[in-house]
Amino acid sequence: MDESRIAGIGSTTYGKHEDASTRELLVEAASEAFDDADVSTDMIDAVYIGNFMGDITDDQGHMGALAADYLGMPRAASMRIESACASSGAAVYIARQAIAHGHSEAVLVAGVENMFATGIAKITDALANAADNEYENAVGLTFPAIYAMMMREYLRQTEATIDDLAAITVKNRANGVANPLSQFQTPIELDEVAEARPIAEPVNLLHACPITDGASAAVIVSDTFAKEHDLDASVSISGGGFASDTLALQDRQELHRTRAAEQAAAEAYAESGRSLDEIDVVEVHDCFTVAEALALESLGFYDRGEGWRGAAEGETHLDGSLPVNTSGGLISKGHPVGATGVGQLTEITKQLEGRHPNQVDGATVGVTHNVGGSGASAVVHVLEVVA
Amino acid sequence: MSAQQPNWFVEFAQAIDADDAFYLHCTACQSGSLPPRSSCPRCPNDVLERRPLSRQATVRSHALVYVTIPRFIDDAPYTVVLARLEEGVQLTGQLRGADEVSVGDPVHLGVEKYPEDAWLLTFTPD
Ligand SMILES: [Zn+2]
Repeated sequence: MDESRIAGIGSTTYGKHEDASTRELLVEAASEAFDDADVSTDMIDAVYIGNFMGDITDDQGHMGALAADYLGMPRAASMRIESACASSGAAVYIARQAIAHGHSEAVLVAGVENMFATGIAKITDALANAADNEYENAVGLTFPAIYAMMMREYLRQTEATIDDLAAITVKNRANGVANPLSQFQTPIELDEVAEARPIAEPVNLLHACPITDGASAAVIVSDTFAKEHDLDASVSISGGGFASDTLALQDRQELHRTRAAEQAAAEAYAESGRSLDEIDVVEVHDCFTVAEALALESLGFYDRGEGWRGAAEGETHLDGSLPVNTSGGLISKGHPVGATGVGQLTEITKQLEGRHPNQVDGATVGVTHNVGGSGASAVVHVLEVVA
Repeated sequence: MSAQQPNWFVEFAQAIDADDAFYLHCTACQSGSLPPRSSCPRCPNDVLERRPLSRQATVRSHALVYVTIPRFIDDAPYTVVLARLEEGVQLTGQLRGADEVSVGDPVHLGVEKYPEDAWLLTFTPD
C-alpha cells in the first residue's frame, strides 16, 4: 500500500477578500501548492475540492470540474466533496484512499469558501444547512445556538468556568499574531472576551470563529511518485480516521461529547501506529471555544470534562507541552468552512517541515482534527516526518 | 431553511396539535426515536412501533439566540430549548409563556403555525 506524501502546500490569506470569487481564491491557493510541490498540473490524476456553500454564495456548484478546468487539468477525475465544515478534511481522506488503493499517484486537494460578500443573515442560514433542517433549523436553531447548548451542558457537567473557556480564545488569538495568513493578528485579553456581543448565549462573538473568505490547497502524491520524480516530500499522512454521529444534537444522550471524533482519532492513531505521547503539535476544529475543549478530550489528550484545562492551565500554549492551534485556529486564523480541513493540513505540514511562524522545536508528529456540524462528522489525520 | 416542510414533519406536528403526539419505539432495544426513521438508530432492528408521546418534558439545555436566520430575525432574541420527553426522546423547540428557563425545569411540548404556514415546535414551562 502506497503512503501519501505532501509534496506541496498553498493558501490564500484568511479574512475578507474584497471582490474575490470562489474560483479566484481556489486558483490562488492551488497555484501556490503546485509551485511549492514542483509538480506540474498534467501529472495530476484526481482533484478533490472541499466546499460547503458555493451554490449559495456564488450560485456555483460543480466545483471539482471548475477547479480542474481553471487549473489546466481537464483530463483529471474531479469532484466536490461536501461534509459541512469537514468538507476538505474529507477531501484529504478520499485523496489518501485513492493513493493507498493505487488509483491515483498525484492528487490535488483543496478547500474554498467565499462568505463575506453574502451578508450575515444569509450566511447564518447557509451554515445552518449543516444542521437538521426540520428538527433544528425550523425552530430557529442556528449553529452558534447548537454550540451554545453544548457549551451550557459542558459548563454544568465540568469544573470549567466560562473564563476557562475564554482562555482558549486568548491563546488562539495570541497564536494568530505571528501567522501572516490569520484573519486576526491582534491579541485579546480575557475581560474583552467576557464583554463581547452575544450571538447565542452563552456563546458570544469572541467564543466563536469569524466568517472568513479563503482557500487552501495541497498536492498529495504516492511514495513511489515522490521517489520517481525526486520530490522534496518529507511529510507523510500516516493515519486517517473518519466517523459520523447523529445529525441533530437532540438525538445524542450526551450533549457535551463528540463521539465521531473519538472514533476518527482511534482509527487514525491505530493506522499510524503513533501513540499520544509521540504527538508534538495539533490543529483542532475550534469553531467555538467549547469545541476545542471537546476536541482535546475526543483526541484522548484529556479525560472527559478536563479538556478546558489545556488553555486555562497553559499546557496547550505555544510554550506548553502540547501546543494546540499554533496557526491561531478557527477562532483567530478564521474558518472559510470548506477550506479549513486542508488549511489545518498546511499548518501541520509547515510545523513538520520546520517553517511555521510559530515553530514548535523538533516537531515530527502532528494531528489534524476537522469536524462537520455539531460533531456529526469528524476527520482526524496523523502527519509525520519520514525524511 | 426555506423549502416547504415535508409531509412527515407536517404529520408529526399536526399530531401534536391534535393532542395525539407520537414517537417511535424500538421493539428490540426499547429505545425511542422520532419520525421519519424506518430503523432504530441504536440497534440493527427495523421494527418501530408508533406509540403515544406524553408531551411532558424536562429542559436539558437552552440558548438565547440573537443573531439568526432571515425568517426569525424579527423575533430575536428568543430562547430555544432542548428537552427530554418522559418517554426518553429529545426534541428542540422555541420557548413560549416565559422569558427564561433553567435546566431541569418541567416543560410541555406544543406546536404552532409560525411564521406563516410553517409548523414550529414549542416548549412552555408547566
Ligand atoms: Zn433498537
